[in-house]
Amino acid sequence: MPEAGPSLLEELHGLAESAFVPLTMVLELTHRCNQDCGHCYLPRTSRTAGPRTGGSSELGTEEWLRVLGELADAGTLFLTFTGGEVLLRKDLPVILAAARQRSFRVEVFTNASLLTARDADLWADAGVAAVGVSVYGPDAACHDAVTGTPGSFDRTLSGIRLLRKAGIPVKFKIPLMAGNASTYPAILALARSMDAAWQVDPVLTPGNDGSDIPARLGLCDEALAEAFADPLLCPTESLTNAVQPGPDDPPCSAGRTFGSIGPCGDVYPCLQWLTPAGSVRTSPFKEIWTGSSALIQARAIRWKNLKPCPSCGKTHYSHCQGTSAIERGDPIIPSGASCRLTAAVDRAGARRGLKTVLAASAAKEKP
Amino acid sequence: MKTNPSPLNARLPREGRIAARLAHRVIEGQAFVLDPKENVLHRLNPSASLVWKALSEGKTPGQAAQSLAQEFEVGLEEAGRDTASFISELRDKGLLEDA
Repeated sequence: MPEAGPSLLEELHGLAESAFVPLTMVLELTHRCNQDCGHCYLPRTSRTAGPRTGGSSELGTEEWLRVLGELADAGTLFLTFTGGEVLLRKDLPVILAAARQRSFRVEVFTNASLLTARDADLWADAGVAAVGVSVYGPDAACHDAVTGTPGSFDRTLSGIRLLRKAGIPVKFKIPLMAGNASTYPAILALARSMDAAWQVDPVLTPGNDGSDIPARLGLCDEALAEAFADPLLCPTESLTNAVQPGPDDPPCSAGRTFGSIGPCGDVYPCLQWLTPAGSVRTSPFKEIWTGSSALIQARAIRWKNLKPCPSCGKTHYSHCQGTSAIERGDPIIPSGASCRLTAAVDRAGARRGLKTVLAASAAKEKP
Repeated sequence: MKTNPSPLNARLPREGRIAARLAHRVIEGQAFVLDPKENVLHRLNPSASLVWKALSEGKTPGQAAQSLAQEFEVGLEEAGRDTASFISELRDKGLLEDA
């Protein structure tokens, strides 16, 4: 007797949470990339290296196929393949076909600039449910300045057209930076003209090597507040309906129902939280997921364990354990990035006459 | 190859193949089935989940009915009727496809 409905997704997440089922996994097939974006969180050395990363080699085709079987057995339903640029993996069609055979819901993140008509057809045949494509500007001058790759805008748009022609839903992924912030209305118009969805992210991620990318290339505080003040980018309900976590709630799903695997097989609580839990190259995934002390420790963190922000003295509901681990060396110390984000959203809410609930005055006082 | 002489096999379809487009998992005994094209998530009840799990493992509807009888401690006849009913409903919803 099938039942259907949107709340089922919440039930599914609740069920997965109660049993620590890794419902959603992000698989980084490679760190190599054909573009040279300054804001990328991957260190340039890993993007320009060969299939060997940091002294160890990328997982091979057979290894990824084995891992897909292990993830299916562990209960993973939602898979995202990302890079680097996934199209630099020549075995991508084989991996996608295997994912379909294992009955995952598959999403792919790509810059689409290397995509051919044959790739688009193969992805459609493999049942790829959605493709996220990075778009940085409404024209070649703006986009190519971000990618550092002349011609990339035209190639990306060509790839998007091929995906749409193959019937695959596309979402523009639009990070806002100082260099492109004023162009987002035009990028959204472009997305609409190509029958694509869009997602604007006003916040850049710190580099995996600790480099302060947001300070170097991101929006200034005023521009960040302006972005959140736009109801188009930040709907009213996302400001006012935020659920205030309880002291015993976990800060997020990282390491609980969500995880990632790097190109060389290292398992992490999240793409951004790079505490290695083990390698699927040497151990079965389920053994790592259930037995790794790194993941067990990650799962033990609750809101009440978070320290007050060293800058503002509050705790932030936008707290990101991964960003904190990179920036502060500790997932429970709020990062400067989450402090800026909270302040910007509070200012934006005030401008719109909304009461936001994004910070608490101290961890102990949280509801 | 011997065939099961039980009337079960006469009532049940010989095959129940899960539609290839579907994403699905059985989590804590409950089958969740996502149709990416329609963007609809289905949850099956415990007995239907058992049948779904059997079919997803490549078992025949007859074998699924036997699992149902064993797990829910009901007679094979009743399990066969229920399995046939589940399969018919799943087929109506496009979750099963013809071989």
